[in-house]
Amino acid sequence: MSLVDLNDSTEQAAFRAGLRAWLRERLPEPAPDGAPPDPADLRDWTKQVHAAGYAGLTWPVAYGGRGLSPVHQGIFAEECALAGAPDQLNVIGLNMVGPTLIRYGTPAQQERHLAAILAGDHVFCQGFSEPEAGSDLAAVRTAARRVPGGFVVDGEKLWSSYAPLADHCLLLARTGPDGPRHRGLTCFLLDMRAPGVTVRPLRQINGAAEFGQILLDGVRIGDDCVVGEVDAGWAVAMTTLAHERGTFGVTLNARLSVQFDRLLATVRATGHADDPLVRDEVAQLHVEVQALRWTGYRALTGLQRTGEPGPESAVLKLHWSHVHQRVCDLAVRLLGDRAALDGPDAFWAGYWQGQLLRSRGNTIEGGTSEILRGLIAERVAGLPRWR
Amino acid sequence: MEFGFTEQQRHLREVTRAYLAERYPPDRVAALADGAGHAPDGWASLVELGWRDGDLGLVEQAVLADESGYALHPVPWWSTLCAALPGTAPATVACHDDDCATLDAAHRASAVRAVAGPGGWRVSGVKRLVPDLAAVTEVLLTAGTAEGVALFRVRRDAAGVTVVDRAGLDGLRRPADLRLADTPAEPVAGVAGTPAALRRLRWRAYTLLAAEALGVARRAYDLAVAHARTRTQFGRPIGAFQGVSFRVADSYVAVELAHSLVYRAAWLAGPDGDRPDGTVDEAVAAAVVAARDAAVRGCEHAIQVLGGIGMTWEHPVHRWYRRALWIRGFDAPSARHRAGLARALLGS
Repeated sequence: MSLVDLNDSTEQAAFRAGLRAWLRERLPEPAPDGAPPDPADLRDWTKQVHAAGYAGLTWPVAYGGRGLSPVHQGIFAEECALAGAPDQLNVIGLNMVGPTLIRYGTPAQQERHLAAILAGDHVFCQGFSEPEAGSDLAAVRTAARRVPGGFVVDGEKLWSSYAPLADHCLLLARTGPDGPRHRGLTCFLLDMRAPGVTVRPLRQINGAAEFGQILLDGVRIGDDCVVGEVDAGWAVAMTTLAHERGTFGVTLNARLSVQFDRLLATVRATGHADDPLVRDEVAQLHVEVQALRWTGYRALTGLQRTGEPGPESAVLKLHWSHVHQRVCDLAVRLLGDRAALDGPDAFWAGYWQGQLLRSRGNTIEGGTSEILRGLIAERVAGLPRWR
Repeated sequence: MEFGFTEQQRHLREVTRAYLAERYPPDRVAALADGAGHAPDGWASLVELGWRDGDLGLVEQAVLADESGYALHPVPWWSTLCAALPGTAPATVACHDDDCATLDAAHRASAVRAVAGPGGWRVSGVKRLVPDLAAVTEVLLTAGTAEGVALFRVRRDAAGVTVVDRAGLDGLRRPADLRLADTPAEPVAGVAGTPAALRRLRWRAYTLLAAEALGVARRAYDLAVAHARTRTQFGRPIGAFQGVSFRVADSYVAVELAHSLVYRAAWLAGPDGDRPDGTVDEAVAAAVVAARDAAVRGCEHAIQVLGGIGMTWEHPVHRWYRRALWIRGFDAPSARHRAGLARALLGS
C-alpha cells in the first residue's frame, strides 16, 4: 500500500529520456568547473523548441498543443534547467497569453496568435504594472478611450518582461473610469509596432535590461483586439496570473537546483569545502531546496488531480524567492574580498554578484512577499482582511 | 509521478483524527501529562484499531504519527514502533549510555555488557534517558558482546531490572534510566546483523518523529489561527494586523515544506523500497531538520500570537512546545544531521 509514487511512469520516463537526448544534442557541453553557460540567441532557441515539438506541451491538441499533463511541463522545465538551456523567450506567450486566449479569445484572435505564439513568431510581453499600480494592480491608470471602431490608449507600463524584444503585448487598461476599481478594466492585444508605442529598456540594479518601460501615446487599438468583454478585463488578467502560478513553481525549483549546484562548485573553487560553518549553511540550503522541490511535485499532483493549484502552491514562490536570495548571498560571501570585483576580473565574470543583485527582485516580482503572505493569511488561514 | 495521498490514506487520516480528537481532548491530555504520563486504557484501544498491524506501510504509520503529534496521543506508540519487536506489547528502545551518545554510533560501542551463559544471555549496565520506559513492558537494547555490539530484548519486569524515573520536560514522554544487573536477555540481532538493523531503526525512529513534529507544528498553527481570528484588540480581530498574520503565514509555509519532506522520507525509508542507503539517509535527515524547526518555531509563533494567555500553565500550547523541544533534543542535534548532508554534498 504505497500512497505516492515519486518515480516517473513508463511514459513519462520515455518523454524525459527523449527530451534529455535532444537537449544534449542541441546544447554545448556544460563547463567542467560548473560555470553558467554564455547567453544564447533566445529567439532562435524558441524556434528550435517549437520545431522539436516541445512548445505548448499542455495546450489542447485542437489549438496546436500536445495535450500533455502538467507533469510533462514540469519534466520539460526540469530537464531544460539541468541542461543549462536558455530561457524560453516566449514564456509569457506560451504560459500565460496562449491559455488565456484559448479560454477568452475570439476564433479570429486564436487564429491570429496561437500558432504564431507556438512558433515563436509572436513573442508576447505583459502590460499590467504601472508606476502607480504595482501590488495594487486595480489602480491602473492607462486609459483606453472609446472611438469609432475601437479605442485610443494613453499611459505608461512598467516592469514588462521581454518588452524590448516583444512583438505583442497583453495590455490591461481602464475603459470605465467611474465605479468600483476592479470594474472598468479591459484586456487588449496590443501590436508593439503600432504608431504611438515606445519601448525603453529599463536598466536594472544589476545593469541588465530584461524589462522595459512601455509608453503609449494615442495608440489606436481595434475592437477585434479586445480580449473577453469590455470592462471585464480584471477576470481575464486574474486568469493570466493564475496560469503563471500553475507550473511556474516547478520551473523556479528546477532553476534553483541548478543554481545550488553552482553554489557547490563555488564552495569547492573558493577552498571552502572543509569549512564547517560553510558546510552547515550549505546543508541547510540543501534542505530548503529539497523541501521546495517536493512541495512543487505535490502542487503539480494537486493540479493534475483537480485542475486547480492547491494551497501548497502558494508557498512555492514565496519561499523560493527567499531561498534563492540566500543561495546568492552565500555564494558572494564565499568570494571574500574578491566579491568587490566585477566583470572579467571577477569570479565567473561577476556571475554571483549579478545574481545576488538581481535576486533582490525575486521577493518583489510576481507578487511581493508581503502580498503573498497576505494571500496565505486570508485565503488559507481564513484571517480577516487587513484592508 | 504522483505525490499525494491515496483515498485510503486520506480516509485513514480522517478516522484517526476523529478518534484522537474525541478520546484525547486537550484537557484530558493536560491532566495525563500532569498525572500518570500516559493513558492506561489507550494501548488496548490502539491495538484494536490496528495501529500495530503488520500491513501498515511507513507512509501510513507516518500519517498516524502526524495525527498523534497533533493530538499529543498519550501512549508509547512511537517508542514501540522504533523497537519493532514482534507482537503487540508496548515497547521502547534503549541505546544511549555512557559509551553511546547517538544512534548512528550505537553499533560501535555500548556501556551495557552481554554475556552468554548456560541459561542464555545476561545483560548488565545502565542505559540513559530511555523514553516511555514506565509505560512499556519490553525493551530493545544494544549491548556489547565479546565479538561486538548486538541487539537484545529484555522484559521490564525481569530479574535485575531497576527503573529510575527522571523528571522530564514533556510529561507525556518521560525519560527514565534503565539499570540492568545480570538480567536475562533474548538476542534480537547478532553482531553481523546489528548495523543494518540499527540503520533501519534509525530511519524508522526519525521518520516517525519528523511526522510527529509535523503534527505538532500543525496544531501550533491551528491554535494561532483560531486565536488570531477571534481575539479582538483595537476594535478588530488581531489576525487583521500584518504583524500577526505574517507570522501565521510563515508557520503555514514551514508546515507545508516539512510535510513534503516527511512523506517523501516515509516513502523512501519504507521496508518495501530497495533504495540506496545514502538516498534514504539524506531524505530522512532533511525531513528531521525541517520538521523539528517547523515544530519549535511554530509553537513559538503560536505563543507570541496567543499573547499573555499562551504564557499560562492553563493554556495547552506549552504541552506541544514541550513535545517540540523533546523532539529537537532527541538523539543527535540537527547540526549533526546537516553534517551528514554536507558529507554527501561536498565529501568528507
